[in-house]
Amino acid sequence: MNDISQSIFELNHLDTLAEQNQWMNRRHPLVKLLLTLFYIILVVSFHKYDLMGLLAMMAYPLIVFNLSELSFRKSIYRLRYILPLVCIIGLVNPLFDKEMVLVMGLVLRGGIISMITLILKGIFTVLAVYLLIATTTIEKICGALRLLHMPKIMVTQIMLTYRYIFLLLREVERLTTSYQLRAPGQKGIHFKVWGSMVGMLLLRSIDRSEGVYNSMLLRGYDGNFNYVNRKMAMVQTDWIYLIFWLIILILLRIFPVIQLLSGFFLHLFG
Amino acid sequence: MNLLTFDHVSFQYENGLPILQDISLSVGPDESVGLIGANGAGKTTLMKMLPGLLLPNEGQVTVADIVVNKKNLSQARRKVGYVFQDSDSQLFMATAYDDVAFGPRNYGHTEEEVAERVLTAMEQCGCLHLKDKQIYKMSGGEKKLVSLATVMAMRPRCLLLDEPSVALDPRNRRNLISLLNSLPVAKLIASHDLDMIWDTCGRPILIDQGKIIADGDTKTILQDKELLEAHGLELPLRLFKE
Ligand SMILES: Nc1ncnc2c1ncn2[C@@H]1O[C@H](COP(=O)(O)OP(=O)(O)OP(=O)(O)O)[C@@H](O)[C@H]1O
Ligand SMILES: [Mg+2]
Repeated sequence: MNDISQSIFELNHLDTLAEQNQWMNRRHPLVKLLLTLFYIILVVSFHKYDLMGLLAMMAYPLIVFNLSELSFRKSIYRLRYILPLVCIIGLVNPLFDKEMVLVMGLVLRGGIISMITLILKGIFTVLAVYLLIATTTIEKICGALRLLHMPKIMVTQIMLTYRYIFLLLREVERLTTSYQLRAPGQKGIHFKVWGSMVGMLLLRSIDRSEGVYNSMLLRGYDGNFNYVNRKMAMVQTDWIYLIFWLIILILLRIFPVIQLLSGFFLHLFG
Repeated sequence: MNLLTFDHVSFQYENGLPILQDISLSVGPDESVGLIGANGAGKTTLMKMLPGLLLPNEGQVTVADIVVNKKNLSQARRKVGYVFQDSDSQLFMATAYDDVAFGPRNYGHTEEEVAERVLTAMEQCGCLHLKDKQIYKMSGGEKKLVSLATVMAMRPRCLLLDEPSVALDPRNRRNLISLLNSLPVAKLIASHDLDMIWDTCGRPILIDQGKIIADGDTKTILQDKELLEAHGLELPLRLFKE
Protein backbone atom coordinates (compact mmCIF):
# COMPACT_ATOMS: atom_id res chain seq x y z
CA MET A 1 0.00 0.00 0.00
CA ASN A 2 1.36 3.45 -0.81
CA ASP A 3 1.17 6.44 1.52
CA ILE A 4 -2.07 7.76 0.09
CA SER A 5 -3.94 4.48 0.21
CA GLN A 6 -2.66 4.18 3.75
CA SER A 7 -4.13 7.56 4.73
CA ILE A 8 -7.46 6.72 3.13
CA PHE A 9 -7.47 3.45 4.94
CA GLU A 10 -6.80 5.14 8.27
CA LEU A 11 -9.43 7.81 7.76
CA ASN A 12 -11.92 5.13 6.89
CA HIS A 13 -10.92 3.24 9.93
CA LEU A 14 -11.74 6.29 12.03
CA ASP A 15 -15.23 6.24 10.53
CA THR A 16 -15.57 2.59 11.39
CA LEU A 17 -14.45 3.21 14.95
CA ALA A 18 -17.00 5.98 15.30
CA GLU A 19 -19.77 3.64 14.14
CA GLN A 20 -19.09 0.96 16.69
CA ASN A 21 -21.65 0.33 19.34
CA GLN A 22 -19.46 0.78 22.41
CA TRP A 23 -20.48 2.43 25.64
CA MET A 24 -18.61 5.58 24.75
CA ASN A 25 -20.06 5.70 21.24
CA ARG A 26 -23.54 5.57 22.69
CA ARG A 27 -23.07 8.67 24.85
CA HIS A 28 -25.02 11.64 23.63
CA PRO A 29 -22.99 13.55 21.02
CA LEU A 30 -23.84 16.89 22.62
CA VAL A 31 -22.34 15.73 25.91
CA LYS A 32 -19.14 14.64 24.22
CA LEU A 33 -18.93 17.79 22.15
CA LEU A 34 -19.47 20.08 25.13
CA LEU A 35 -16.98 18.20 27.28
CA THR A 36 -14.39 18.32 24.54
CA LEU A 37 -14.82 22.07 24.13
CA PHE A 38 -14.80 22.66 27.86
CA TYR A 39 -11.70 20.53 28.27
CA ILE A 40 -9.85 22.40 25.54
CA ILE A 41 -10.75 25.76 27.01
CA LEU A 42 -9.50 24.69 30.45
CA VAL A 43 -6.29 23.24 29.04
CA VAL A 44 -5.52 26.36 27.10
CA SER A 45 -6.27 28.55 30.11
CA PHE A 46 -3.38 27.18 32.22
CA HIS A 47 -0.53 29.60 32.85
CA LYS A 48 2.52 28.89 30.75
CA TYR A 49 4.61 27.96 33.82
CA ASP A 50 1.92 25.85 35.50
CA LEU A 51 3.34 22.55 34.32
CA MET A 52 2.18 20.53 37.31
CA GLY A 53 -1.37 21.80 37.09
CA LEU A 54 -1.49 21.04 33.40
CA LEU A 55 -0.10 17.54 33.85
CA ALA A 56 -3.08 16.65 35.99
CA MET A 57 -5.32 17.33 32.99
CA MET A 58 -3.87 14.19 31.47
CA ALA A 59 -6.50 12.36 33.51
CA TYR A 60 -9.21 13.15 30.96
CA PRO A 61 -7.66 11.66 27.82
CA LEU A 62 -6.29 8.71 29.77
CA ILE A 63 -9.61 7.77 31.29
CA VAL A 64 -11.62 8.45 28.15
CA PHE A 65 -9.18 6.32 26.19
CA ASN A 66 -9.92 3.45 28.50
CA LEU A 67 -13.66 4.01 28.42
CA SER A 68 -13.62 4.16 24.62
CA GLU A 69 -11.78 0.87 24.30
CA LEU A 70 -9.47 2.41 21.74
CA SER A 71 -5.94 1.19 21.39
CA PHE A 72 -3.62 3.90 22.73
CA ARG A 73 -0.69 2.68 20.67
CA LYS A 74 -2.62 2.63 17.39
CA SER A 75 -4.11 6.01 18.09
CA ILE A 76 -0.74 7.60 18.69
CA TYR A 77 0.44 5.96 15.49
CA ARG A 78 -2.52 7.44 13.63
CA LEU A 79 -1.63 10.88 14.97
CA ARG A 80 2.01 10.54 13.94
CA TYR A 81 1.83 13.42 11.44
CA ILE A 82 0.01 15.85 13.68
CA LEU A 83 1.83 15.41 16.98
CA PRO A 84 5.31 16.31 15.64
CA LEU A 85 3.82 19.51 14.23
CA VAL A 86 2.55 20.43 17.65
CA CYS A 87 6.01 19.77 19.08
CA ILE A 88 7.79 21.91 16.50
CA ILE A 89 5.64 24.87 17.45
CA GLY A 90 6.70 24.39 21.07
CA LEU A 91 10.39 23.94 20.26
CA VAL A 92 11.00 27.52 19.17
CA ASN A 93 9.67 28.78 22.45
CA PRO A 94 12.88 28.66 24.61
CA LEU A 95 14.50 31.15 22.23
CA PHE A 96 12.12 33.87 23.35
CA ASP A 97 11.54 33.04 26.99
CA LYS A 98 14.65 33.42 29.16
CA GLU A 99 13.13 33.84 32.62
CA MET A 100 13.97 31.45 35.53
CA VAL A 101 11.18 29.65 37.39
CA LEU A 102 10.79 27.32 40.33
CA VAL A 103 9.03 23.99 39.70
CA MET A 104 8.73 21.43 42.48
CA GLY A 105 11.77 22.78 44.23
CA LEU A 106 13.91 23.01 41.09
CA VAL A 107 15.01 26.23 39.42
CA LEU A 108 14.53 25.86 35.70
CA ARG A 109 14.77 28.02 32.60
CA GLY A 110 11.27 29.43 32.05
CA GLY A 111 11.62 28.79 28.33
CA ILE A 112 11.93 25.08 28.88
CA ILE A 113 8.88 24.95 31.10
CA SER A 114 6.72 27.00 28.80
CA MET A 115 7.88 24.90 25.89
CA ILE A 116 6.74 21.77 27.66
CA THR A 117 3.40 23.26 28.69
CA LEU A 118 2.83 24.51 25.16
CA ILE A 119 3.54 21.10 23.70
CA LEU A 120 1.36 19.42 26.29
CA LYS A 121 -1.48 21.83 25.60
CA GLY A 122 -1.21 20.95 21.93
CA ILE A 123 -1.09 17.23 22.56
CA PHE A 124 -4.00 17.29 24.99
CA THR A 125 -6.11 19.28 22.54
CA VAL A 126 -5.34 16.92 19.68
CA LEU A 127 -6.09 13.90 21.84
CA ALA A 128 -9.39 15.34 23.04
CA VAL A 129 -10.51 16.05 19.49
CA TYR A 130 -9.33 12.64 18.35
CA LEU A 131 -11.30 10.98 21.13
CA LEU A 132 -14.39 12.86 20.05
CA ILE A 133 -14.20 11.89 16.40
CA ALA A 134 -13.14 8.33 17.07
CA THR A 135 -16.27 7.75 19.13
CA THR A 136 -18.80 9.98 17.37
CA THR A 137 -19.77 9.94 13.69
CA ILE A 138 -19.55 13.18 11.76
CA GLU A 139 -23.35 13.19 11.36
CA LYS A 140 -23.80 13.07 15.10
CA ILE A 141 -21.28 15.84 15.67
CA CYS A 142 -23.11 17.93 13.09
CA GLY A 143 -26.40 17.08 14.76
CA ALA A 144 -25.00 18.26 18.09
CA LEU A 145 -23.79 21.48 16.49
CA ARG A 146 -27.31 22.05 15.19
CA LEU A 147 -28.62 21.57 18.73
CA LEU A 148 -26.26 24.37 19.72
CA HIS A 149 -27.91 26.43 16.98
CA MET A 150 -24.92 26.68 14.75
CA PRO A 151 -26.23 27.94 11.37
CA LYS A 152 -27.18 25.21 8.86
CA ILE A 153 -24.81 26.47 6.26
CA MET A 154 -21.79 26.18 8.56
CA VAL A 155 -22.76 22.71 9.72
CA THR A 156 -23.22 21.55 6.13
CA GLN A 157 -19.84 23.04 5.35
CA ILE A 158 -18.21 21.05 8.14
CA MET A 159 -19.88 17.86 7.00
CA LEU A 160 -18.89 18.41 3.39
CA THR A 161 -15.34 19.34 4.30
CA TYR A 162 -15.03 16.07 6.15
CA ARG A 163 -16.34 14.12 3.16
CA TYR A 164 -14.22 16.25 0.86
CA ILE A 165 -11.01 15.05 2.50
CA PHE A 166 -11.89 11.51 1.42
CA LEU A 167 -12.74 12.57 -2.09
CA LEU A 168 -9.58 14.59 -2.37
CA LEU A 169 -7.41 11.73 -1.16
CA ARG A 170 -9.08 9.31 -3.53
CA GLU A 171 -8.50 11.69 -6.44
CA VAL A 172 -4.87 12.01 -5.41
CA GLU A 173 -4.65 8.25 -5.38
CA ARG A 174 -6.13 7.94 -8.87
CA LEU A 175 -3.99 10.69 -10.34
CA THR A 176 -0.72 9.47 -8.87
CA THR A 177 -1.49 5.91 -9.89
CA SER A 178 -2.19 6.90 -13.47
CA TYR A 179 0.95 9.07 -13.46
CA GLN A 180 3.12 6.31 -12.10
CA LEU A 181 1.80 3.80 -14.58
CA ARG A 182 2.87 6.09 -17.38
CA ALA A 183 6.22 7.01 -15.84
CA PRO A 184 7.57 3.66 -14.74
CA GLY A 185 10.77 3.51 -12.77
CA GLN A 186 10.45 7.09 -11.61
CA LYS A 187 10.37 7.90 -7.95
CA GLY A 188 7.84 10.47 -6.86
CA ILE A 189 6.33 12.98 -9.23
CA HIS A 190 8.40 15.28 -11.38
CA PHE A 191 8.04 18.89 -10.24
CA LYS A 192 7.17 20.03 -13.77
CA VAL A 193 3.79 18.33 -13.64
CA TRP A 194 2.98 19.46 -10.12
CA GLY A 195 1.15 22.54 -11.35
CA SER A 196 -1.15 20.76 -13.72
CA MET A 197 -1.64 17.94 -11.22
CA VAL A 198 -2.79 20.31 -8.52
CA GLY A 199 -5.11 22.14 -10.89
CA MET A 200 -6.57 18.89 -12.15
CA LEU A 201 -6.97 17.68 -8.61
CA LEU A 202 -8.87 20.74 -7.50
CA LEU A 203 -11.21 20.70 -10.48
CA ARG A 204 -11.92 17.02 -10.18
CA SER A 205 -12.52 17.03 -6.49
CA ILE A 206 -14.74 20.11 -6.71
CA ASP A 207 -16.71 18.31 -9.40
CA ARG A 208 -17.01 15.28 -7.26
CA SER A 209 -18.03 17.08 -4.11
CA GLU A 210 -20.71 18.83 -6.14
CA GLY A 211 -21.91 15.41 -7.20
CA VAL A 212 -21.97 14.22 -3.62
CA TYR A 213 -23.82 17.32 -2.48
CA ASN A 214 -26.42 16.75 -5.20
CA SER A 215 -26.79 13.16 -4.16
CA MET A 216 -27.40 14.32 -0.58
CA LEU A 217 -29.99 16.86 -1.70
CA LEU A 218 -31.81 14.29 -3.80
CA ARG A 219 -32.11 12.09 -0.77
CA GLY A 220 -33.83 14.66 1.35
CA TYR A 221 -30.85 16.35 3.03
CA ASP A 222 -31.88 19.79 4.26
CA GLY A 223 -29.04 20.73 6.58
CA ASN A 224 -30.96 19.89 9.72
CA PHE A 225 -29.71 16.47 10.76
CA ASN A 226 -33.15 15.88 12.21
CA TYR A 227 -32.83 12.16 11.86
CA VAL A 228 -29.71 12.18 14.00
CA ASN A 229 -31.24 14.26 16.74
CA ARG A 230 -34.52 12.41 16.74
CA LYS A 231 -32.70 9.18 17.45
CA MET A 232 -30.68 10.64 20.30
CA ALA A 233 -32.10 11.41 23.69
CA MET A 234 -30.10 12.31 26.77
CA VAL A 235 -30.40 9.42 29.17
CA GLN A 236 -29.48 9.40 32.84
CA THR A 237 -26.05 7.94 32.11
CA ASP A 238 -25.33 10.90 29.84
CA TRP A 239 -26.18 13.39 32.55
CA ILE A 240 -24.08 11.55 35.09
CA TYR A 241 -21.18 11.34 32.70
CA LEU A 242 -21.42 15.03 31.91
CA ILE A 243 -21.69 16.18 35.51
CA PHE A 244 -18.96 13.80 36.65
CA TRP A 245 -16.49 15.26 34.20
CA LEU A 246 -17.53 18.85 34.75
CA ILE A 247 -16.79 18.47 38.44
CA ILE A 248 -13.53 16.59 37.95
CA LEU A 249 -12.28 19.01 35.32
CA ILE A 250 -13.11 22.05 37.43
CA LEU A 251 -11.37 20.48 40.44
CA LEU A 252 -8.32 19.70 38.34
CA ARG A 253 -8.28 23.26 37.08
CA ILE A 254 -8.63 24.95 40.48
CA PHE A 255 -6.56 22.81 42.82
CA PRO A 256 -2.91 21.84 42.32
CA VAL A 257 -3.89 18.19 42.50
CA ILE A 258 -0.48 16.72 41.81
CA GLN A 259 1.20 18.77 44.57
CA LEU A 260 -1.57 17.89 47.00
CA LEU A 261 -1.32 14.21 46.23
CA SER A 262 2.46 14.09 46.44
CA GLY A 263 2.31 16.04 49.73
CA PHE A 264 -0.18 13.54 51.01
CA PHE A 265 1.97 10.55 50.11
CA LEU A 266 5.10 12.18 51.53
CA HIS A 267 3.23 12.72 54.76
CA LEU A 268 2.00 9.12 54.75
CA PHE A 269 5.36 7.47 54.18
CA GLY A 270 7.78 10.10 55.44
CA MET B 1 -52.09 11.21 -16.71
CA ASN B 2 -48.40 11.60 -17.39
CA LEU B 3 -45.77 11.09 -14.75
CA LEU B 4 -43.00 13.06 -16.39
CA THR B 5 -43.39 15.81 -18.94
CA PHE B 6 -41.10 18.16 -20.80
CA ASP B 7 -42.93 21.02 -22.42
CA HIS B 8 -40.85 22.94 -24.99
CA VAL B 9 -37.80 22.85 -22.79
CA SER B 10 -34.55 24.52 -23.76
CA PHE B 11 -31.40 24.58 -21.74
CA GLN B 12 -27.90 25.97 -21.90
CA TYR B 13 -25.02 25.98 -19.45
CA GLU B 14 -23.51 29.30 -18.40
CA ASN B 15 -21.08 29.31 -21.30
CA GLY B 16 -24.07 29.81 -23.57
CA LEU B 17 -23.98 26.91 -26.00
CA PRO B 18 -27.49 25.49 -26.31
CA ILE B 19 -27.51 21.90 -25.07
CA LEU B 20 -31.21 21.06 -25.17
CA GLN B 21 -33.45 22.65 -27.76
CA ASP B 22 -37.20 22.67 -27.61
CA ILE B 23 -37.67 19.25 -26.04
CA SER B 24 -41.21 18.01 -25.57
CA LEU B 25 -41.97 14.54 -24.33
CA SER B 26 -43.97 12.70 -21.74
CA VAL B 27 -43.66 9.45 -19.87
CA GLY B 28 -46.62 7.55 -18.43
CA PRO B 29 -46.81 6.13 -14.91
CA ASP B 30 -45.96 2.54 -15.92
CA GLU B 31 -43.76 3.20 -18.87
CA SER B 32 -40.12 2.30 -19.37
CA VAL B 33 -38.42 4.70 -21.69
CA GLY B 34 -34.90 4.49 -23.05
CA LEU B 35 -32.95 7.63 -23.74
CA ILE B 36 -30.39 6.88 -26.42
CA GLY B 37 -27.82 9.03 -28.15
CA ALA B 38 -24.10 9.37 -28.76
CA ASN B 39 -21.67 10.84 -26.20
CA GLY B 40 -22.49 14.44 -25.51
CA ALA B 41 -25.98 14.21 -27.01
CA GLY B 42 -27.52 15.67 -23.88
CA LYS B 43 -28.92 12.59 -22.14
CA THR B 44 -27.46 13.36 -18.72
CA THR B 45 -28.43 17.00 -18.99
CA LEU B 46 -32.01 16.05 -19.77
CA MET B 47 -32.20 13.63 -16.86
CA LYS B 48 -30.81 16.16 -14.42
CA MET B 49 -33.74 18.46 -15.10
CA LEU B 50 -36.27 16.05 -13.62
CA PRO B 51 -35.13 16.34 -9.99
CA GLY B 52 -34.30 19.98 -10.65
CA LEU B 53 -30.53 19.68 -10.47
CA LEU B 54 -30.72 21.86 -13.56
CA LEU B 55 -33.64 24.17 -14.22
CA PRO B 56 -34.84 24.94 -17.76
CA ASN B 57 -34.06 28.28 -19.39
CA GLU B 58 -37.30 28.01 -21.31
CA GLY B 59 -40.30 25.73 -21.06
CA GLN B 60 -41.49 23.62 -18.19
CA VAL B 61 -40.72 20.27 -16.63
CA THR B 62 -43.25 18.45 -14.46
CA VAL B 63 -43.00 15.39 -12.25
CA ALA B 64 -46.28 13.80 -11.09
CA ASP B 65 -48.02 17.07 -11.97
CA ILE B 66 -45.61 19.09 -9.86
CA VAL B 67 -43.86 21.82 -11.78
CA VAL B 68 -40.14 21.54 -11.16
CA ASN B 69 -39.01 24.98 -10.03
CA LYS B 70 -37.19 26.43 -7.06
CA LYS B 71 -40.30 26.47 -4.94
CA ASN B 72 -41.43 22.87 -5.47
CA LEU B 73 -38.00 21.32 -5.53
CA SER B 74 -38.22 19.14 -2.44
CA GLN B 75 -41.70 17.86 -3.37
CA ALA B 76 -40.64 16.96 -6.89
CA ARG B 77 -37.52 15.27 -5.62
CA ARG B 78 -39.47 12.85 -3.49
CA LYS B 79 -41.11 11.44 -6.60
CA VAL B 80 -38.02 10.50 -8.55
CA GLY B 81 -34.99 8.43 -7.75
CA TYR B 82 -31.86 9.35 -9.64
CA VAL B 83 -29.02 6.88 -10.11
CA PHE B 84 -25.95 8.82 -11.21
CA GLN B 85 -23.69 7.84 -14.07
CA ASP B 86 -20.79 7.89 -11.61
CA SER B 87 -21.32 5.88 -8.42
CA ASP B 88 -18.57 7.75 -6.62
CA SER B 89 -20.77 10.82 -6.63
CA GLN B 90 -23.75 8.87 -5.42
CA LEU B 91 -22.23 7.21 -2.40
CA PHE B 92 -20.69 9.16 0.44
CA MET B 93 -21.20 7.35 3.70
CA ALA B 94 -18.76 4.86 5.17
CA THR B 95 -20.72 1.63 4.80
CA ALA B 96 -23.32 0.48 2.30
CA TYR B 97 -25.99 0.18 4.98
CA ASP B 98 -25.59 3.77 6.13
CA ASP B 99 -25.59 5.05 2.61
CA VAL B 100 -28.81 3.27 1.72
CA ALA B 101 -30.31 4.45 5.02
CA PHE B 102 -29.43 8.10 4.42
CA GLY B 103 -32.53 8.90 2.34
CA PRO B 104 -35.16 7.15 4.49
CA ARG B 105 -33.63 8.68 7.62
CA ASN B 106 -33.85 12.15 6.15
CA TYR B 107 -37.49 11.57 5.35
CA GLY B 108 -38.20 11.00 8.99
CA HIS B 109 -38.82 7.27 9.22
CA THR B 110 -38.26 5.44 12.47
CA GLU B 111 -35.17 3.31 12.73
CA GLU B 112 -37.21 0.08 12.31
CA GLU B 113 -38.83 1.38 9.15
CA VAL B 114 -35.44 2.50 7.92
CA ALA B 115 -33.97 -0.96 8.53
CA GLU B 116 -36.89 -2.59 6.76
CA ARG B 117 -36.52 -0.32 3.73
CA VAL B 118 -32.77 -0.71 3.58
CA LEU B 119 -32.82 -4.50 3.76
CA THR B 120 -35.65 -4.81 1.24
CA ALA B 121 -33.96 -2.46 -1.19
CA MET B 122 -30.61 -4.19 -0.88
CA GLU B 123 -32.23 -7.57 -1.30
CA GLN B 124 -34.08 -6.34 -4.40
CA CYS B 125 -30.89 -5.02 -5.90
CA GLY B 126 -28.91 -8.14 -5.13
CA CYS B 127 -26.43 -6.46 -2.83
CA LEU B 128 -27.58 -7.55 0.59
CA HIS B 129 -24.30 -9.36 1.17
CA LEU B 130 -22.49 -6.01 0.88
CA LYS B 131 -24.47 -4.49 3.74
CA ASP B 132 -21.59 -3.96 6.13
CA LYS B 133 -18.85 -3.54 3.58
CA GLN B 134 -17.04 -0.23 3.34
CA ILE B 135 -17.85 1.64 0.17
CA TYR B 136 -14.20 2.47 -0.31
CA LYS B 137 -13.38 -1.21 -0.68
CA MET B 138 -16.03 -2.01 -3.28
CA SER B 139 -15.61 -2.77 -6.96
CA GLY B 140 -17.25 -0.56 -9.58
CA GLY B 141 -20.08 -3.04 -10.14
CA GLU B 142 -20.78 -3.45 -6.44
CA LYS B 143 -20.99 0.32 -6.05
CA LYS B 144 -23.48 0.44 -8.91
CA LEU B 145 -25.79 -2.04 -7.20
CA VAL B 146 -25.56 -0.18 -3.91
CA SER B 147 -26.31 3.11 -5.71
CA LEU B 148 -29.45 1.57 -7.10
CA ALA B 149 -30.41 0.38 -3.62
CA THR B 150 -29.93 3.88 -2.14
CA VAL B 151 -32.57 5.10 -4.55
CA MET B 152 -34.95 2.15 -4.24
CA ALA B 153 -34.98 2.52 -0.47
CA MET B 154 -36.78 5.82 -0.99
CA ARG B 155 -39.54 4.06 -2.96
CA PRO B 156 -39.74 6.59 -5.78
CA ARG B 157 -42.55 6.74 -8.34
CA CYS B 158 -40.02 6.85 -11.10
CA LEU B 159 -36.44 5.69 -11.56
CA LEU B 160 -33.96 7.73 -13.52
CA LEU B 161 -30.95 5.68 -14.48
CA ASP B 162 -27.91 7.14 -16.15
CA GLU B 163 -25.83 4.42 -17.83
CA PRO B 164 -26.83 1.74 -15.33
CA SER B 165 -25.06 -1.15 -17.06
CA VAL B 166 -21.63 0.45 -17.16
CA ALA B 167 -19.13 -1.41 -14.96
CA LEU B 168 -21.29 -4.50 -14.58
CA ASP B 169 -20.07 -7.95 -15.57
CA PRO B 170 -22.36 -10.02 -17.83
CA ARG B 171 -24.03 -11.81 -14.96
CA ASN B 172 -24.74 -8.67 -12.97
CA ARG B 173 -25.84 -6.95 -16.15
CA ARG B 174 -28.39 -9.71 -16.74
CA ASN B 175 -29.45 -9.50 -13.10
CA LEU B 176 -29.87 -5.76 -13.42
CA ILE B 177 -32.03 -6.20 -16.51
CA SER B 178 -34.35 -8.65 -14.80
CA LEU B 179 -34.34 -6.49 -11.70
CA LEU B 180 -35.35 -3.42 -13.70
CA ASN B 181 -38.08 -5.37 -15.44
CA SER B 182 -39.46 -6.53 -12.11
CA LEU B 183 -39.62 -3.11 -10.48
CA PRO B 184 -43.14 -1.73 -10.61
CA VAL B 185 -42.20 1.89 -11.25
CA ALA B 186 -41.75 4.07 -14.30
CA LYS B 187 -38.22 4.14 -15.66
CA LEU B 188 -36.18 6.49 -17.75
CA ILE B 189 -32.92 4.87 -18.74
CA ALA B 190 -30.12 6.71 -20.51
CA SER B 191 -27.66 4.38 -22.18
CA HIS B 192 -25.54 3.49 -25.16
CA ASP B 193 -26.15 -0.16 -24.35
CA LEU B 194 -28.91 -0.66 -26.89
CA ASP B 195 -29.21 -4.33 -26.04
CA MET B 196 -30.13 -3.41 -22.53
CA ILE B 197 -32.59 -0.82 -23.79
CA TRP B 198 -34.06 -3.51 -26.03
CA ASP B 199 -34.58 -5.77 -23.01
CA THR B 200 -35.90 -3.17 -20.61
CA CYS B 201 -37.68 -0.42 -22.49
CA GLY B 202 -40.79 -0.47 -24.59
CA ARG B 203 -40.02 2.91 -26.04
CA PRO B 204 -36.69 4.46 -26.95
CA ILE B 205 -36.17 8.17 -27.55
CA LEU B 206 -33.22 9.02 -29.74
CA ILE B 207 -31.60 12.38 -29.15
CA ASP B 208 -28.75 14.06 -30.92
CA GLN B 209 -27.27 17.48 -30.23
CA GLY B 210 -30.04 18.27 -27.79
CA LYS B 211 -32.95 17.53 -30.10
CA ILE B 212 -35.36 14.63 -30.20
CA ILE B 213 -34.75 12.74 -33.44
CA ALA B 214 -37.05 9.80 -32.98
CA ASP B 215 -39.56 8.56 -30.44
CA GLY B 216 -41.43 5.31 -30.97
CA ASP B 217 -41.51 1.64 -30.22
CA THR B 218 -38.41 -0.43 -29.58
CA LYS B 219 -38.54 -2.73 -32.61
CA THR B 220 -38.95 0.11 -35.07
CA ILE B 221 -36.23 2.38 -33.80
CA LEU B 222 -33.60 -0.11 -32.68
CA GLN B 223 -33.77 -2.01 -35.98
CA ASP B 224 -33.40 1.11 -38.10
CA LYS B 225 -29.72 0.82 -39.03
CA GLU B 226 -29.56 4.02 -41.06
CA LEU B 227 -31.24 6.13 -38.43
CA LEU B 228 -28.97 4.84 -35.68
CA GLU B 229 -25.79 5.22 -37.69
CA ALA B 230 -26.68 8.71 -38.79
CA HIS B 231 -26.67 9.68 -35.11
CA GLY B 232 -23.55 7.94 -33.93
CA LEU B 233 -25.04 4.66 -32.74
CA GLU B 234 -25.02 1.07 -33.94
CA LEU B 235 -27.57 -1.70 -34.13
CA PRO B 236 -27.95 -3.73 -30.95
CA LEU B 237 -25.48 -6.63 -30.94
CA ARG B 238 -28.18 -9.26 -30.94
CA LEU B 239 -29.24 -8.17 -34.42
CA PHE B 240 -25.78 -8.91 -35.81
CA LYS B 241 -26.00 -12.54 -34.90
CA GLU B 242 -28.74 -13.29 -37.36
N1 LIG C 1 -21.26 21.53 -16.52
C1 LIG C 1 -21.21 21.71 -17.85
N2 LIG C 1 -20.87 22.92 -18.35
C2 LIG C 1 -20.85 23.12 -19.67
N3 LIG C 1 -21.15 22.20 -20.59
C3 LIG C 1 -21.50 20.97 -20.18
C4 LIG C 1 -21.55 20.65 -18.78
N4 LIG C 1 -21.93 19.37 -18.66
C5 LIG C 1 -22.09 18.89 -19.91
N5 LIG C 1 -21.85 19.84 -20.82
C6 LIG C 1 -21.97 19.69 -22.28
O1 LIG C 1 -23.30 19.38 -22.58
C7 LIG C 1 -23.36 18.44 -23.64
C8 LIG C 1 -24.26 17.30 -23.25
O2 LIG C 1 -23.69 16.62 -22.15
P1 LIG C 1 -24.37 15.39 -21.45
O3 LIG C 1 -23.54 15.05 -20.28
O4 LIG C 1 -25.80 15.68 -21.23
O5 LIG C 1 -24.21 14.25 -22.57
P2 LIG C 1 -24.58 12.72 -22.51
O6 LIG C 1 -25.54 12.47 -23.60
O7 LIG C 1 -24.96 12.33 -21.14
O8 LIG C 1 -23.19 12.05 -22.89
P3 LIG C 1 -22.52 10.69 -22.37
O9 LIG C 1 -23.10 9.61 -23.18
O10 LIG C 1 -21.09 10.89 -22.68
O11 LIG C 1 -22.78 10.59 -20.92
C9 LIG C 1 -21.95 18.03 -23.94
O12 LIG C 1 -21.55 18.68 -25.13
C10 LIG C 1 -21.14 18.53 -22.79
O13 LIG C 1 -19.88 18.97 -23.21
MG1 LIG D 1 -24.16 11.13 -19.69
